[in-house]
Amino acid sequence: MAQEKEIQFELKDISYSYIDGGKKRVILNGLSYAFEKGKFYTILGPSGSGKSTLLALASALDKPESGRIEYEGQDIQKIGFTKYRRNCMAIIFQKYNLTDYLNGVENVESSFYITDKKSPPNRKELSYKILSSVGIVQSKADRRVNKLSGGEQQRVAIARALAKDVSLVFGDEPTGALDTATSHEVIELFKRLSKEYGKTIILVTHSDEVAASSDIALRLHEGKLEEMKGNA
Amino acid sequence: MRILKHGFLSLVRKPAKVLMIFAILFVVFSLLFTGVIIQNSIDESKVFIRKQLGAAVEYKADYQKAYSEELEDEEYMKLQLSKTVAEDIAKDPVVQQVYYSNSNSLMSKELKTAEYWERDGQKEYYDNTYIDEDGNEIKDNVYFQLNGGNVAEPLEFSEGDYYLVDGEFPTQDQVKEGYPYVLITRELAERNNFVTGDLIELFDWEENTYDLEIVGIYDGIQEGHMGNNLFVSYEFIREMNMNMYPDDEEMMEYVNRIIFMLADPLEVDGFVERNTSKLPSEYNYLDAATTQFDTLTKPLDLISLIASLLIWVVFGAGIIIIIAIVSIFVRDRKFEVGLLLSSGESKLRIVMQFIYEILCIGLVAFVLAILMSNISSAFVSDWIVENQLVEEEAAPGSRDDMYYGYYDTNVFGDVDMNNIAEDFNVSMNQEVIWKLFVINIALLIFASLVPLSIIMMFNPRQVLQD
Repeated sequence: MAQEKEIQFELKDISYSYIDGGKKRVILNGLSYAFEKGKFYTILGPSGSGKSTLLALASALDKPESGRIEYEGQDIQKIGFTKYRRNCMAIIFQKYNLTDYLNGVENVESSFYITDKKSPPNRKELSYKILSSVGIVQSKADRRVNKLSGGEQQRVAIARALAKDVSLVFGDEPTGALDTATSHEVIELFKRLSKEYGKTIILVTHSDEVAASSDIALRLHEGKLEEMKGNA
Repeated sequence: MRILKHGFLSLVRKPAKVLMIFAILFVVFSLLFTGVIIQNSIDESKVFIRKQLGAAVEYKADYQKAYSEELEDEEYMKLQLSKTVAEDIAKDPVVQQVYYSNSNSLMSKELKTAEYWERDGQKEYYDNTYIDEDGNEIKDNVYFQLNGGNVAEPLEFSEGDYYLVDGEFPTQDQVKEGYPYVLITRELAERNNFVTGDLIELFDWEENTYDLEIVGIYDGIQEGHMGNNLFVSYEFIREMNMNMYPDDEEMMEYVNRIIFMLADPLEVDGFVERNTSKLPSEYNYLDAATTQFDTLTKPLDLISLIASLLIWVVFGAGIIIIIAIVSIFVRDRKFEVGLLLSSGESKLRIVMQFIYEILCIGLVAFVLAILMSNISSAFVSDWIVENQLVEEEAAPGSRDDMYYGYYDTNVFGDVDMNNIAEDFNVSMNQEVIWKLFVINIALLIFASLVPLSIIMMFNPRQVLQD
C-alpha cells in the first residue's frame, strides 16, 4: 500500500497581478501546488517570472489577489499573517537580513523572543549550539554581524531560522550573494535541515546546481508551477 | 524582554545617532525647562504676595468713581454698603468671619479728655473750657468716638493694632443683644481713674443718656487724637440711631465698614470673582488689595508673558524637530522593521521598542536639562531680582489711597518689592520636576507617535524591497 503524502503547505488557485505602465501584468495565474512535509524544494524561473512574489505570498509578506494558502490544512489568513510568520515559518533572504547592531549569537537569540512559544532560559547556550551546528564557532558568534563574511552571515541567518523551531523554511535566493564554495556549503546545510530536522525547505533560486541538490525542483512558468524532477 | 534588550543594544551600539537625538532633545528641553521654572517661580512669587496681603476682602464704596462721575448728592446713596448683601456674601463657604461696624459719637461734660498733642515731649491735653463774652468760664462737651462691631473681639484687636491691658472682651451674646459695654483706652482710664466694672455716663445730640459698663481697657497703636476712641457693639450704635433718628430706617441699618476674613489668602481672587455680581451698585466693590497686588505683580507679569511665549515657541518648535528626527530615525531603520515584521514581530511592539529607545535618550536629556536649566534659571532669576523687582511708585489715583472717616485698621498685610525680591527663588522642587517630567514624556510620546505611526502602515514586503 502506497504511503499517503503528508502535506505541509499548499497553494490553492493563487493569482497575483500588478499594474505596470498602465497595463495589468499577471504574475501568478491560478497557481496551485501542495508541498510535502520534510522535503527540499527549489523553485526556478527567469527574472520577473514571479518567484519572489510567490515567496512573499507564501511567507505572508503580501496578499494574493485570489486563492488560498494553507499551512497544515489551515488558511494562513485565518491563522493571522503575523502569527503565521511568528510561529509557523522562517525566511532567509539573499542579503542575509540580520540586525546590524546585534552580534551573531544575539541575532539567533532574537528568534526565541519573537514567538508565542515559551522562551527557554538557556537560549544563549542553545543559540551557540545552533550556530556551531551551521559552522559558526563562538568567537565568530560573538562578533557584530557586519564583521562576518557573506557566507558566515548567511549561516547566522540559517541558524536564526533554525532557532525559530518551525517546520517550514523559505529561502529567497539564499546563495545568490555567495561564492561557489560557500554556496555549496549552504546548500548542504539546507539538505541537512530537511533530512535531519524534517523541515520543509522551499528555496527560490536561479541556480540549476542548487535545483539539482533539491528533492523536487519546480519551474515557475506563465504564472504556474511545473515539476521539473522528483528525487524523493 | 526583546524590546528592552534590543532597544538598549541599539542605543549603546549606535552612539552617533543617539548623540544627535540627545543633543537636540537636550537643547529643546533646556529651553523649555528654563521657561517653565521661571514661570513656576513667578507663580510662587504671586502666591507669596497674595499670602502676604492676607485673607481679608473689604466691601467698599468707590468714592473715586463717584467723584470722577460727578454724582449728584442724592445719588450718593448708591455708595452705601448693605449689611444684607454682606450677610448673603458671607454664605460663601470660604468666608471664615464677616466683620461689620458702624460709628457714632457721644459726649460728656464731666469726663476729662484723653486726646492730646505733644510739645517738647510733653503731653498737652485739649482743653474743653473757654471764657465767654461775659467773662464766664464755660465747660464745652468732650467728644467720644464710638466704634461698634458685630464680634466680641473687634478686628482692630485680632489684627494686633490694639490689645487689652485690663478686663476682657464682652461675650458674643452681649455683642448680639447690644449690651451697653465699652472698651476704653488706657489714657482715658488713667485720666479719669476708671477701672473695669465702672460705668460711664454719656449723652447724644438729642441729650439721651447712656450708661456704659467698662469691660476692658486697651492700649496699642495710639496717637494723641485717638484717646477718646471707644469700642461698643454694632447693636448698641443701632439703638442709639433709633433713639436719635426714629423715622430714618436707613440710618438704623447703616454700616460703614464690612470685611470678610477668608480661610485661605489664595481664595480671595475666586471669592471676589464669585461675589462682585452680588453687590447692589456699580459704586461698590470688593477690595482684596487688588491695586497693591497688581502694582507688585506688574513686573512679574511681563516676565511671565515672555516665559510663556518661550515655552510655547519651544514646545511648538520642539514638536516639529522631534517629529523630524524621529522620522529620520524610522527611515534609517526601515530595513530592521521589515526584518522584524518578516519574523512575525507585531508592528505595535516595534513601535514600542522605538518609543522605549527615544524615551531612554529623552530621560538622560531630561536629567541633564534639569541641571542645565537650574543654572540658567539662576542667572535669569538674578537678572529679574536686580532689574525688575525694584520699588516703583504707587499707581496714581489708587482707590486704596483714599481713606474716609476715622482711623481704619489696615486689614491687608504689608509687602513690598524688597520682600518679593528676597522671596524670589527659582530653586527646583519635586513638584516642578514632576511637572517637567510629565511635559517631557508627553512631548516625546506625542511627537514620536506621529512618525512612528507610519510603521503601522508599512507593507513588510515593500519595506524589505526598499
